[in-house]
Amino acid sequence: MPRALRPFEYIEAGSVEEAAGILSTWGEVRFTDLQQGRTI
Amino acid sequence: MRRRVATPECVVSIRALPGIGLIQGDGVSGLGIGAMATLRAAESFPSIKRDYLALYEGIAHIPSLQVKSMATVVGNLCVASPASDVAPPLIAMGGQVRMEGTEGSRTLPLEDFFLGVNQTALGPGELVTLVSVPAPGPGSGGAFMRLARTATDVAKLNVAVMMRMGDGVCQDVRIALGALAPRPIRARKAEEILRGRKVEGERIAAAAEAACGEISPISDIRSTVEYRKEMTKLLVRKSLEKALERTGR
Repeated sequence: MPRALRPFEYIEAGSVEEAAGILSTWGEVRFTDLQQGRTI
Repeated sequence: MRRRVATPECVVSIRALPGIGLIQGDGVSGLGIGAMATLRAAESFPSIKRDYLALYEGIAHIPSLQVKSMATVVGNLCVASPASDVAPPLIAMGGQVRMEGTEGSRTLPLEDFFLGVNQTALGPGELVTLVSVPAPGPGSGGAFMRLARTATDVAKLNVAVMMRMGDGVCQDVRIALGALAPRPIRARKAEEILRGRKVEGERIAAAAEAACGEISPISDIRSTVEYRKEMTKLLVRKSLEKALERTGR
């Protein structure tokens, strides 16, 4: 998807620690919530 | 995301993490599957077809090459579908998941990773980085079987078996069942009937009957409770027979 069309911030993690840190900062999206059309 | 049922503010790609897409190991050292390794890569990995046949069969039952070329083994596990064709073989083979997060890393047996329909033990800020499987050991044999309306449909039920024979008796056996409970489960009572004993017709039938008592299937668009129970007996019996044959006892 072209960057300009992305309706979200896209981050390429360089390490597991970075990925985990971002996940814990932004929260996570669980599949169950996807089914209900919600994000947490 | 494509269906717009979720609109995350941020997406984190882990594709560039060192080693995250690797599959390593063999039938002697055990197997490690990185979080970004695709189903197709696993299906094409020589040792998986040779030494981890139940897993190979589970993946091979997924017909779409396009899906298998995009979807990952770990991604399949993290969706935590009760009907996954990948989870039961990995559970039967004693698979473990490594999770890493801001608080450090931990490892869980795969069967404890699944908590319910689409629910896992992953905490906030944690991601699965690896699924590992111990070496099968001499005298081992595995099998995977599934039943579905069509080849491309989600399974009505599936069964994976890993058995190790020695001195004419069953040294160890693990039976994993899918689509028969809110999460993939072990048929532990059925396993107990076989462990430490000779494996022959009546005992296999008794184990299959016991497995039927350990499930909690539902009736839905794909099947009914009654049919799923009957077919559990059949598939467990056939899977045990196939696994036994493959032990080369």
